[in-house]
Amino acid sequence: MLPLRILLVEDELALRLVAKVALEKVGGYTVNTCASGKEALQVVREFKPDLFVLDVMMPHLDGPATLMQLREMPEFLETPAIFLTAKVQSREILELLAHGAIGVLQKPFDPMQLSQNVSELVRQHAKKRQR
Amino acid sequence: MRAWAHSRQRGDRRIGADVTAAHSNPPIEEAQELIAKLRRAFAATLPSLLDTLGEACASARADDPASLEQPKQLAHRLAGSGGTFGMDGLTRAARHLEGLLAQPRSGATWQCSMLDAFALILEAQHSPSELVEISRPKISRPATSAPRNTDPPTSSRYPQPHGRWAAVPIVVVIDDVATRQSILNTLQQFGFLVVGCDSPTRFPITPLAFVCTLNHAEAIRNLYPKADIITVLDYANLEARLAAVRVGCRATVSMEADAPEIAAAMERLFPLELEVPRVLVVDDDHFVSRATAAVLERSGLVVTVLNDPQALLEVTADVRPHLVLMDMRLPHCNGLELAAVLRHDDRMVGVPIVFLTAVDEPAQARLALEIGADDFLVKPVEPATLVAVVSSRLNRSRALRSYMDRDSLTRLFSHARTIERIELEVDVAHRRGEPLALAILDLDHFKRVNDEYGHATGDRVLRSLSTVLRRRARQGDIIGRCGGEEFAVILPATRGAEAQQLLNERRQTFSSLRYGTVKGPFTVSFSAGIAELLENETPASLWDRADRALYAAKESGRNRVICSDAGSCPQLGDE
Repeated sequence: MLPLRILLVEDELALRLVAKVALEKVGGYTVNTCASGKEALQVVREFKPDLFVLDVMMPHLDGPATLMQLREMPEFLETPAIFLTAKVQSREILELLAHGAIGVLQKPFDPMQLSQNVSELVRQHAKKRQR
Repeated sequence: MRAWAHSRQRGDRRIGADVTAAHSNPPIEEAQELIAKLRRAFAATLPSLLDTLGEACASARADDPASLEQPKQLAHRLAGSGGTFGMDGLTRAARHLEGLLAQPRSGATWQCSMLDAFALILEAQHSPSELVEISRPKISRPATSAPRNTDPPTSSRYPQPHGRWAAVPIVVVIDDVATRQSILNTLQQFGFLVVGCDSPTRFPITPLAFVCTLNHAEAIRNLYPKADIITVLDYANLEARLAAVRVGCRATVSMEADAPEIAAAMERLFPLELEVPRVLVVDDDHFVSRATAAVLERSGLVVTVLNDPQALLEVTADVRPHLVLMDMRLPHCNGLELAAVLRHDDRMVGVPIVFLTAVDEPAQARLALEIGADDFLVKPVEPATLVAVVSSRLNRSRALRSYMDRDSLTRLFSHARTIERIELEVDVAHRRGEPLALAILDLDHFKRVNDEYGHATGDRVLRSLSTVLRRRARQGDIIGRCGGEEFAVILPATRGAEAQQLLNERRQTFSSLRYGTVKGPFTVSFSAGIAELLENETPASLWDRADRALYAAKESGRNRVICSDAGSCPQLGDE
């Protein structure tokens, strides 16, 4: 599988960095990080990501709202998205999936496992699309 | 290969154990290193994050949704990041708090649950595996060029309400709101952390004690088989008293008990150690000594680190440790020789010495024990073991000291020990160039109390003054009973004016206590004189000036605190 380009949106600095390190060094992805949904909307056209990883709870523009605005750009209508969230209830997880994400990853996460979990979701998504 | 994720699962973290990386895969190795760095950075921000969360929770009110937003967001954030950085306890605590904030309820139970969550968070912060993490940033800083670190722990020397129990609540479970409130007020006045509940609830950590009516005792006993329960009951009812005994109550208090009586019962169960134990860590390895210090500090001890054993005598004179934790192998001399030197110092004879050694050396151990070492730990020591050994040694020597040094009625320092402590503190204050205040207190018309109500009642008054002084004391304050009804309070690093304010607060608390007797209730007040240490002043002269100020307070009408003229405090009588 070709190295994917990931746009990572996470407002908390420590987590943004740890996720970037995990995805780049362990998973071999190319990662661009944004501290807010607004920033993501500004850089997305230039970076041309293959995958969005979005934190859910962010001030001003939260994860789902950011995704909705990203989807308004035709070139990113089909780009898969994964939410990162500390929410635990299955109802909340289902709501997030309903926003058109290919998966939801739990926080806290094990940095050494994150890449594997992301690739797994991407693989499943690719299989589904083939059918 | 010892990937970080694996070591985390095995809980395999010791002091000084470092994150080692895989050799096979450079990017992975790099990732692990970077993640370890980020974890340290996160740990460094954690104390201030928890402070913010604590404040946000304290101002949260169930009926004000806006006030709940900030603590909710913070808790959610911590839940998400804690475990990512290997602090699973933090994630658990934060989730618990989140759950509570999601279902705001009003009243005492809600406050109770909030306190609850706090305790959990604190506990998470204190779990041994995380201690090392949290303390790491300190260690990873470049070593200072100074050969030893003997800075007096200024920040921890005089924090406000002190003691390891100050953070553990006493839970009052009484149906009648008025009775509950009055008991809550009393205990609060005496400096206990209290919380009221209308029914027994399970707490994530065991509260210090429960004060309850008999109807709740059994339910509490079922929840907490080992809890200390104090029942409030009708003393005339033998059946009730028997029932209390059967439930295994530690103490009972009469329905008609007055405030001093309830406080006295608590005091009997939970004698307060005013001085936080000081530990001296002697180890030439900066890294290990700081890590050891961090673990002990987290368990509530005051720790001084000495890296250069040459300065030992100087530092022990300054710190006056209650326990010395010493590395066996030191430069210039070995630990055994140093221990022998310490034992030659009269003041250090009773101080436990615990050795740390890199390898198990039976011959060395035997030698050490002959010289008078008290225990032996082989490095690396698990934080929990370290804390357990040090605390048990401290407790034992403290109990011994207590019998030698303290007044049997009030458990305060005896006259001789008080004078000794004044001499020491004056010496320290001169050397550090810090202020020092001395207060001498005398009960007003105490002879009348003894004559009118008998000596047993007189003793109750003395004990309750002792309780007020101890519970209201700050860490570092030294309190002694100097004679029949005369008490002394030594206030290090305190100016006269501040001491006067503190003593006035205690005077107001004490004089508001009502003692119930068959002849009806009465109150007692005290007068106090304060002197602030002058440049080059002798202990005798300081005492003399405080004593004269006390005389002036008595002369000008009693029930007041007067500061010596030579000091800097304003001359204020009773308001």
